[in-house]
Amino acid sequence: MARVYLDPITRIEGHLSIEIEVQNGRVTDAWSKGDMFRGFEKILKGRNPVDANQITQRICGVCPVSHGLASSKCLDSAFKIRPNKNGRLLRNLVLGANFLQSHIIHFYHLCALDYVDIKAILEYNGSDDKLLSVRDWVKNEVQIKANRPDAITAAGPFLPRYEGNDFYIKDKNLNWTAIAHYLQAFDIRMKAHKMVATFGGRAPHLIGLVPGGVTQVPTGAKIREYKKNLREVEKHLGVSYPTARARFTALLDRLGLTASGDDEPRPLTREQVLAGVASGELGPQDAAALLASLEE
Amino acid sequence: MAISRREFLKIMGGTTAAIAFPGVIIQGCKRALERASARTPVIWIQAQSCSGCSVSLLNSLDPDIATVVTQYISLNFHQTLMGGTGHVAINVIDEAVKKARNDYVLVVEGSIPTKDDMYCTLGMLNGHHVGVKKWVTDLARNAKVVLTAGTCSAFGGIPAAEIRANGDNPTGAKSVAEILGDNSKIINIPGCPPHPDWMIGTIMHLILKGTMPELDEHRRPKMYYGKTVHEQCEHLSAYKRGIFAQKWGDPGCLYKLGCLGMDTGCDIPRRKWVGVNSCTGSGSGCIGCTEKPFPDYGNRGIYKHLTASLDEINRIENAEIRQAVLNLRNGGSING
Repeated sequence: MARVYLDPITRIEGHLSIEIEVQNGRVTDAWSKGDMFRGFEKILKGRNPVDANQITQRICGVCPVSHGLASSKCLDSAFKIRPNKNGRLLRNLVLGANFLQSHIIHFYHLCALDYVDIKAILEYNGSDDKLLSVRDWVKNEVQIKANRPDAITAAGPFLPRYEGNDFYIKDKNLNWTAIAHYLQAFDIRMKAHKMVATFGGRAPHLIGLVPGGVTQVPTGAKIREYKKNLREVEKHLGVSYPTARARFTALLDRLGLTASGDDEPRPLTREQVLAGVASGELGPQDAAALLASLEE
Repeated sequence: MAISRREFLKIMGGTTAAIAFPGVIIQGCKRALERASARTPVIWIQAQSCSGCSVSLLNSLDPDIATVVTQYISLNFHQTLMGGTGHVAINVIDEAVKKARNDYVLVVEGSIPTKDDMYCTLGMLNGHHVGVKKWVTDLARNAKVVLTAGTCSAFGGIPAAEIRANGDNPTGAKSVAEILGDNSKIINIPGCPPHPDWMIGTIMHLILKGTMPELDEHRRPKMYYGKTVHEQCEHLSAYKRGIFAQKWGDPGCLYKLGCLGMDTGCDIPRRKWVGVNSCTGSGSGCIGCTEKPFPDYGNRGIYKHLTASLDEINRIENAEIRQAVLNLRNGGSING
């Protein structure tokens, strides 16, 4: 029996290590461990509740908006405040922009290097300026390292990495495209962060969230700024919201789960309620109430 | 490698603030960069951090991060960006310690726990998890300069926030200066998160001029932290005319909403986050994140008091919450 340790897992937000037990070439058990503790719950206790939305955002620098928003909503309900329309809309716009940012960084900058072979760039013979300069950079770096035994790494932070025959994509063209997209995605991710900062005050770690809504009044210039960046992100990702939505609907259909036309959950039909009672999922009183509401 | 005068100004000062920093000498920069073609190694360690400083670093507008990594520095180790993982990653810093090169820049993000090494570990050596404190002390010994990115590593920040009941913090989180005991090598780049220009600009200053930038009493570069937010604020004219915002969204100076701009050295009102907005410009006010007392400010907290009027507070239904809010409003803390 052998133990394999992967410590640290890099390219994630936070600190993680994995321990794997291997027997006769098969994984028999595995553990994951968060390697860092800060004690947010203890820190928050006894503080001004309004500070909470600033402090909780520091849980994660990639998704601070989710934490800040959750905290603001808690405060909304504790103080029994209903956010006004401006607050609700701007909060949603900021959260949506950060979703974009989060997904781009996750796919391109965190995950991709597990699959993409950065060394494939050495054989690049196309005409993309950016890729050519990356090729020259990797070449130079590798040569510098050969001449300097005291060099720490060459072509960091991309090398060194796990080496082996089956680790990375073998298709050269796919690798080159992926590397080009990796570089482009830095710019696109930053544009998504511009959208966050436009209505949230700054990015990462919003400053504009407060119980009851946001601190900012949207102006024409700000809305244009947001729209402009959204359009550029959309252009580069090649997916517009209707396209994405159509794809998800098609996917749901194929899975046999028909998507409803709106975001509201559909009320159960009479047949479904009766089936629920028969299978024991619904109590008789709940079912009676549902049937009564259907008849109204 | 070539860099134009305009590019250099942008790096050092940001586009809007290019004229504001006479301390930066432009002559000879091109040659200096050529000399630096054997790029300065940078090792970036994340301790008790949220990676916010790293994400902020990626927001660098000009030069963009890909240019910085491929042309200006040699980023040997960075947990969020590096290709290697597990022992491949750890070998990099282990060798950096063993080779004892003395020309690298160590960047530390996040505070360092002192109550127990297990509160933050990074990698395994000889079958044992290694506390991040060991990496920071070992790497700092030979580093040319230790750069603390963010308030956590500069002053303790959020992980070092006090538990109100006993004035301690949960993990004994401490700043890098407190761990090393000697701050002569340290440049602090506080901010929660710091602006990418502050981090990249300071590294560029080190590479191009070979010396530390001029530092203030908290060892922060004066070119970025020398003036207060208030001095550069968008609402300065409103302040001078005595126009104060009374609630969020009002026009005017944000002082009465608890803005800490008068006590905070930072140039965000002119530099802007990702080029589009600033803390004061968005009507939220400064939370003082580049200063040592952040986020405690004694018993004050980040926001001075709740901005609700007495009428609104009296409408809070839960008696316990209402009393707590009233206590806070009168300057007290929740626990007493």
